[in-house]
Amino acid sequence: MLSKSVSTTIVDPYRAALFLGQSLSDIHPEVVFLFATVHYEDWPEFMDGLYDGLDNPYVRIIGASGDGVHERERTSDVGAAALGLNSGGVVQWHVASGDGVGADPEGAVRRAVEKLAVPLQGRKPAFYFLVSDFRTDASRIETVIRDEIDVPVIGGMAADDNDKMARCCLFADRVMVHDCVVMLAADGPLSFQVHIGNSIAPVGQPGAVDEAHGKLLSRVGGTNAASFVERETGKPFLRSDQGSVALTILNAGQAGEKKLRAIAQNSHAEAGGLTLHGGIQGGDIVQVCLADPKDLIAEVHAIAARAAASGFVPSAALIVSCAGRKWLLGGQIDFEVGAIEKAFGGELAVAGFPSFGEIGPLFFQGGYTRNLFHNMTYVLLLLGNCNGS
Amino acid sequence: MEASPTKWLTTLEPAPAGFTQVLLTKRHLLSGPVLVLVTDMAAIAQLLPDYRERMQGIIMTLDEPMQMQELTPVLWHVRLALDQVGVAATLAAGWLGAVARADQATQELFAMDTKAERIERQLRLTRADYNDLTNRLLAQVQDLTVAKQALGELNQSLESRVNARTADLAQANASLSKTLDELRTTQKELVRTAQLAGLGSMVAGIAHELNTPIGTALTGATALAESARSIQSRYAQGQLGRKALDEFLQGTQDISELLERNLTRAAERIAQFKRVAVDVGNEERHRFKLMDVITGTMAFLAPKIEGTRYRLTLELDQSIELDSYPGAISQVLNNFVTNALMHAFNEREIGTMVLRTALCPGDALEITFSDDGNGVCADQLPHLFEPFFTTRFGQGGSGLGLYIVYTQVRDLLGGRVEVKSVPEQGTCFTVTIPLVAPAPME
Repeated sequence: MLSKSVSTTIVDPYRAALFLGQSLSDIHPEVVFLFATVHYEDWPEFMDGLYDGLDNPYVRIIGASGDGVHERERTSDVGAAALGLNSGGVVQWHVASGDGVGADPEGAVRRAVEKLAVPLQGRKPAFYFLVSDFRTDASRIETVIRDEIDVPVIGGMAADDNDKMARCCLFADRVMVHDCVVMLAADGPLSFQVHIGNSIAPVGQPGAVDEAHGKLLSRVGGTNAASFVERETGKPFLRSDQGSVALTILNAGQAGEKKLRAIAQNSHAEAGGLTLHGGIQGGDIVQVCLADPKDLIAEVHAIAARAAASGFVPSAALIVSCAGRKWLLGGQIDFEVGAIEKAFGGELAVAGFPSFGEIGPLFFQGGYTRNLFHNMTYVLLLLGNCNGS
Repeated sequence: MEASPTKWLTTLEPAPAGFTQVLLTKRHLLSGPVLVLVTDMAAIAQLLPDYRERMQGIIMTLDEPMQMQELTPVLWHVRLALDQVGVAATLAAGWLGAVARADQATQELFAMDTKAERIERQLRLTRADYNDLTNRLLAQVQDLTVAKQALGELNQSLESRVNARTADLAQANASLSKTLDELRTTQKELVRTAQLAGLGSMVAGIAHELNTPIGTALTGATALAESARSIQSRYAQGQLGRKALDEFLQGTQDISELLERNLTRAAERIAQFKRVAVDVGNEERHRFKLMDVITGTMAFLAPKIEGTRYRLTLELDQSIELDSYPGAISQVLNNFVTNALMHAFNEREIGTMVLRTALCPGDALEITFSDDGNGVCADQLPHLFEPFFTTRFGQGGSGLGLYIVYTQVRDLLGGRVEVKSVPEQGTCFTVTIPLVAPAPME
């Protein structure tokens, strides 16, 4: 497997994308994972530049614009990063989008999967990579990928944490889309590993969700949601706490499954309600969790070390990491790439993006759990060889 | 590093030395710092209308005189003659490098601006959080101040209420103490009255016992006086015969014997009464024979018993002597008998009381007084020695008889008194006292 990652901070969209394309073109990538920040407003120009640089109109592209980029050379709040892969034709890469994710998250995923089923011709892909517009209830995406898809689905929700959500878009080959999920099926004997870190310390006592509608959590533990968080943490939920305070759902599902729901905002503060990054249901048992920067950093290093110790030899790595972690760490998230470089060497192709909700199965008893939607999570997808080993 | 700044492109044919002749496209113009040689700017503008904002590098156009213009910090326009291209191109490498560095600086500046924008937003949110928290804390401080003020007022009110209540309680306490003192005084008076009532009963017994011999003696003395007056009158009239004198002398002897017998009996009674009455009336201890106290007590109790169908049997150890309080023992016995006569045989035709005395181990005396009467029910038995406990209140029972027994035995005689009773079978009191009474308590 040939792989290469590249990044740029060139301000002009065409020039930046042209640079990425030209840089990747020497490995003749079959697929490019593309992540860019929202500063490139002129996405058609950007995509022209990329394909001009790649000089191959058939390269499959999946990705999203958002709050920053990860790449081997840099972790940045501005710019673009791309990871190109060339399996020598062993792996077929299929990309499809499902529209209407805001109103119909389940339907959007199903529509994308149905489109992918055509080229898959009944084959199961090694895995799916999924990016979605943030403006939806991701827990409803989870219900489909968890209950209806029996291969790993890895990905995240694309958004911007700096009030430029309107500029966000998703990349599905040459098309820039909104209000969609975009999915890529890796169709072939591609080995991979998924590592997910979501250790976040619970505090206080658990409470049962008394009232919730989608992502809006109204009442927990006999009081309104904001009061519950304050009661259990000793302080009110603040604007600057967005993304760094989460609720863990204790009755998450099957063995080994764990869910976190980060608190997005208290826009319903008048009534004491809290909006979450992902839906929650009445009757769920939740406990407030507070992230400790030291723990977050230590866990990423532990994941990288554990992956290296497993003997897996990656050709490339994709990182989907919660933007709430970035906020909590003051933007100092270089270590999320640095830990991988330390574990696997500095030449490993790496790319990724800060997300507003992460997707992936958890390691459990030598296998993977069902596909889950997470918050406050670091997802590492290691891509290996194409011989199925 | 970004793309190499060594791209020299031209549309001229043939291309000057060092230049690559290309069919110029947007890709060429925007592929990084480039040196582009064209005939005029229209060729550039046609391909990229906003080339001024987007291109980096040097645009050379063929024109005279030679002129150099900075379009932007990273884009220069050079007008020159074709024969001057070679000279200018020799400067291009360094020039394009400077443009690349300027572009890099522009990127870094943009990144810094973005970072500043992010930090500004974070500060704005943090400021809003700070203001919210400040307002929240101020509200809490205000609430605490109000609460503190209310608490202060409450404390003040509470203090005055406590003072008033304390004064009320002190007054009530004083009143209760006074009432308690009065009750104690009343109780003592009642006990004393009951004891005096015992004395009265004793006096009645004394009167009854003395009445017969003294009355008989008085009758005899009156008859003797009448006989003497009659003899004296006969003698004065000279009518006194021998027979009459013999009869008078015989009668005088009979009456004298009667007088002697009855007055002796009265004197004996008085001596007995004196011993008991003196002891009952005061609480001085001395050495005495128990038999004397019992005999004296029984003497004045006899009239009470004689008028009834009930009998008192004595089973006494006549040798017992004590150094104690005989008056208290007499009062105890008197109260046992009086209590039995009043309660034990109610609605019974006959009844028997038994008084026993015996020495017991430890130099002690055991007095047992029992009856075969009605007995006392179990729920009343524990209260029998309590003051004012009576089942015949208003019918002559003061409720102090057995209480006096209890206090005299315990406090004065230094012993104990116990009671057992079986309903319909009778009651038995057992008094155990030391032969030598303890020293009186101060």
